[in-house]
Amino acid sequence: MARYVLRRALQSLYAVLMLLLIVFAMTRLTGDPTNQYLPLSASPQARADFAALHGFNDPYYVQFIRYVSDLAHGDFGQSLFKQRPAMEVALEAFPITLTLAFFTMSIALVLSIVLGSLAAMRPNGRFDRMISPLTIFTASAPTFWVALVAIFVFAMMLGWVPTSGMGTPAHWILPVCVLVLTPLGVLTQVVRSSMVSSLSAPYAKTALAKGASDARVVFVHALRNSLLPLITIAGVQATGLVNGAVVIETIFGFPGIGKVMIDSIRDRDFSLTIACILLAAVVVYAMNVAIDIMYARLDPRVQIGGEARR
Amino acid sequence: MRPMLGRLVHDKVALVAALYLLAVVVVALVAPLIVDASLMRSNLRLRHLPPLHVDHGWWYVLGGDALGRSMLARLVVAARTTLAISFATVALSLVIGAAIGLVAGLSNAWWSTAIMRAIDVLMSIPSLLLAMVVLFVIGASPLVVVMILTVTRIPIFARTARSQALEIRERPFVSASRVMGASSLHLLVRHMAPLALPTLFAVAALEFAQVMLAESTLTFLGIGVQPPDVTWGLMVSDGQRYLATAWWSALWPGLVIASIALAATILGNWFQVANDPVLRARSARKSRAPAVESKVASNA
Amino acid sequence: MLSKTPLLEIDNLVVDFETPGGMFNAVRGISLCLEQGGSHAIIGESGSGKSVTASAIMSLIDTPPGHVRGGDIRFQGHSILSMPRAERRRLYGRHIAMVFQDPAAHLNPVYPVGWQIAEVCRIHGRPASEAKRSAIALMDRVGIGDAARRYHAFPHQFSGGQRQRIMIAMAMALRPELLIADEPTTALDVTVQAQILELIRELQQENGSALLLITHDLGVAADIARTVSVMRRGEFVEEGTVADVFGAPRHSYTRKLLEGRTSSRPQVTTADAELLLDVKDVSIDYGAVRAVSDVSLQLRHNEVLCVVGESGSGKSTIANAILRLREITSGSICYRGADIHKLGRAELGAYHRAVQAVFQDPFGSLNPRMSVFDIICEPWSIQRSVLPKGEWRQRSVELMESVGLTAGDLGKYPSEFSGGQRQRIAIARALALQSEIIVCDEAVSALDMTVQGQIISLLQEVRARMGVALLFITHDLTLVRNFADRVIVMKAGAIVEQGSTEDVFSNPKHGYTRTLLAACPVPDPVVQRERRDAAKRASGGHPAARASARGA
Repeated sequence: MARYVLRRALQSLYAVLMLLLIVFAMTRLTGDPTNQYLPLSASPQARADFAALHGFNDPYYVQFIRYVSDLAHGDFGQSLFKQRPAMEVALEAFPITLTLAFFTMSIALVLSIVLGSLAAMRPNGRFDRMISPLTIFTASAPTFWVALVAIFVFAMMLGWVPTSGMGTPAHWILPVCVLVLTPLGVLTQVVRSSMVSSLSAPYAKTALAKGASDARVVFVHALRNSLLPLITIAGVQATGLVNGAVVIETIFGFPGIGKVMIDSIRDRDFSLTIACILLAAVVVYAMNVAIDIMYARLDPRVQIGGEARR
Repeated sequence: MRPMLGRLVHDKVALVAALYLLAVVVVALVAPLIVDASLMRSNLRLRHLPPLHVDHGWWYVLGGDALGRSMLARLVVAARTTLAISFATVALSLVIGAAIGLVAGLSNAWWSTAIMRAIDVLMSIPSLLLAMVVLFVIGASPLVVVMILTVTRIPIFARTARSQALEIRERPFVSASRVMGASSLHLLVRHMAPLALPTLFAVAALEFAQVMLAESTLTFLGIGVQPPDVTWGLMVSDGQRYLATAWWSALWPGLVIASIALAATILGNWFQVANDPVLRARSARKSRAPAVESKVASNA
Repeated sequence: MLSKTPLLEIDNLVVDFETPGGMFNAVRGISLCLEQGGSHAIIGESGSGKSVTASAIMSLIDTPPGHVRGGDIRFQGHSILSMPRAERRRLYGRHIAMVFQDPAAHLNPVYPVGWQIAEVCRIHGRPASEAKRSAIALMDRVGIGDAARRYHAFPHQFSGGQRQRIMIAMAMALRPELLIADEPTTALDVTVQAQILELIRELQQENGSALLLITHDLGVAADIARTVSVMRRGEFVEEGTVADVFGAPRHSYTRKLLEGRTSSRPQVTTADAELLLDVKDVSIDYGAVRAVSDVSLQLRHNEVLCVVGESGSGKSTIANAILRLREITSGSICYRGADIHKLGRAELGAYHRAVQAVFQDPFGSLNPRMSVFDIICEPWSIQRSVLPKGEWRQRSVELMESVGLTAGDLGKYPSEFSGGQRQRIAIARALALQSEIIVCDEAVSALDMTVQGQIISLLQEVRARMGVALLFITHDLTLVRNFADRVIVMKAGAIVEQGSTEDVFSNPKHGYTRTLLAACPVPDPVVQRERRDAAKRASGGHPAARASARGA
């Protein structure tokens, strides 16, 4: 197990390095790198000084190595706007996003299992015909728009919850509810269709032949098999959750990684942008490793370290 | 082809979705003909005109925006840009991704595994982050948006194509072709591609929805398409400021995005079920007990 | 006089299925009486309705699209169909149990096997600890060695035979009065089949259970059952004791089933015929496993050579190597003296023209999106030099007619044909390049018995008319007797016996060949009983359990 985690960590590291390479290539190879770091109004002399200071005139591979080693040492440079180390700013914002993502994913997983199973027990029945359109809708509605509509209806018109900001638990209700919709929609569909498959599998027949009740067939036999595809897709949704978090934080004014990232882009605060992006990517990779491990524990056919499910 | 159309007519929901999409595309195509330039100029008298009044003509039935322009007209014009970006992205990523995936699935060479690994890495980077970096550095324009969105969508097509190829190549008729002396090219063109295409098209429909949403999100956040180009996402972003007073500025564009994404998703799902006889039979069944499939033996 | 209530009574059962093509009458009014402790077999091919009948007794029919339209099923006098569901659930597992055909799919892959066996006990009210003890004892009884430890193992960690033993343990756990076995041995090797049948019989006698066996194999029925019904298209066409029905069949369908699949005398090829294929000391490794070791065989012009073996024998592997679908690790395969792995491009093309194949799965052998015409012409589109395009249409018609299909079929798609017809199309395709050798890899194994006979006849005809040699791979020894010129028996990657059909069948030299011949059940209950007694004398005690300890 430990070897497996290490191997996956290395794979993720490889992915993070790739991202770094892309970022690096983007900045160095597309015009004057000082544009990224200095305000647009900086004079040519200031630029030349800055370039000399930071070694922008050195060969590319030297720059890349220095860049990576700086990052490895935690040196992401200074955030221009905040006048503080970029990573420090990013790490402050990190727990908020993490909490948001954690709550949302947990709710989405639990609810999707319940709703999907109920829908699958009577395919094309009343509950299913209610749920299925809803899940398609939530899976395809743009998060930013739903957020605005929700704010308009529940905050502005009905006044049930505050419109934006963080602070009280009440401030979290709307953001979480909106963010959960897309993963909930997708995951419910996954649970439903894999439950329908499991329920018509031969081993479900065997259970019935043993005298099992419907509840037992659904929740003991079918569900366990359906958790596997659910977890796979949950991993993909985790990646998308970061995208959604960016939007939600921006609209609701949560000072999480997403909002910091967008602001830093607007302010052309490059170091901060990079710090945020890398932190977000690390979160995603960590979530995926956790999911892989969960999957391996649930499916006895998968050897830890095998590629059985790809 | 004809049985598919027949099935489409049968499924009312999918039919409505398909017709709706068709209508939108037509409107986008004829936009320059029907939208008069005057509608796109600022008309400060009509700024924030509420909707559902026809005193100023049919074009203002959806209201006026912050600069007094007709919401409806702007929606129609934005349709061109949004749909063009989305179609181009999907088409490009379909072709490139399918080619990569099919070849990787058929061959056992080391480079095909390497490519798929690279694809996996690409897939695990949150697309929004990647897009933000690129657009930030290179600068946003519809072309760049198409390029970066294409890059983020290629993995899905490549993965789907590859898993299709892996499954198809195990089938005896592929072995039979090999025994006849078929080249890999023959296998790809004659067997793999035709059998994989239906699934790929289904994925393309779903991806169309996702691409539209991604583009809108990027533009909404201010890092996508910039004025004077206009997309629906941009319209929502413009309208956000006036949410409390002129809610329609943000509502209509978002509604259009949502409805088109919905229609595309419905159509994609339908396409997937319509193509697979097993899924077709299953979806037609309505069971009371936990569904248990009996074998209905066909004639020997 | 108190009349004894039969254990199971099926009274004029009628079951329909809604299909896109209309209402399909799966079962059209059958009646059956099974006494306590009796054993009855329902024999039929696919589409006969025999499995639907079993499903109806177990309430496993999906409703819709299936509907029980009429009749009744009574167990110990009580109507199952009118019972409320909760009451029915008390019966299943406890008084009526079922063993299914494909144990791999019928066991839940994510739970340990012992847990699944114990589940039957738990469902019917036994405490968990007692259930676990029973499960371990049962696993031991059915011959799973080291039962206490293997209780925690998962289905994928067992062989096919062992999985079926587990299913049997699950079924017999609560000593049900009625055991229904739906094709219990069809997915298994023939030697394992014999052991599983023996196990079922032993358990049945120990517990005094009645057995309802569903099968297409007459030999299996003769081995286990006392009474038999022959089912065809939803109706019983003949019923009676095994001795009566098999000894003196009255209905033409029964006679056709008993006739067997091959009836004509084989053509005898002299040893002087031209040597086409010379396989010398070929070994094939599959990773760390040696799938084929030092196999040598020869195929002559117009000869029918059958390679017989069970799963894991390597027969398909060597066939794939001959077809160049698989690499060999050592040795050589020569066609007309030339090593096929050292051929230049043009010679390789010639080899592909000379050797063609027909595979096992009729549904996977044809591309569902290609018309039959395209399928038949594909060889010519790959090997352009064989036939100019202008003649494709005419030649394809000739080929279709030579396999018993018509020119009108050329425009259709594979989904419009039955399994047997699809194999005919596959054979036509294999003949398109006027090959010298056709490799048939289990080409009839997936077809119904009567259809198998038709396809074998077709192959014999093709061989006689077109002078092709056939390399016929099969696991079914009984198929081979009237069909092959020479036979090769393989086991665990090696050849254990080789010779003319007559020699191998009347005078088998290797023990495994003898076992194989003895294990194939024949539709003669007397012969079967004699074989069983002989086997028991040879091994003494529980042959079924002992064999499993070896991992069968």
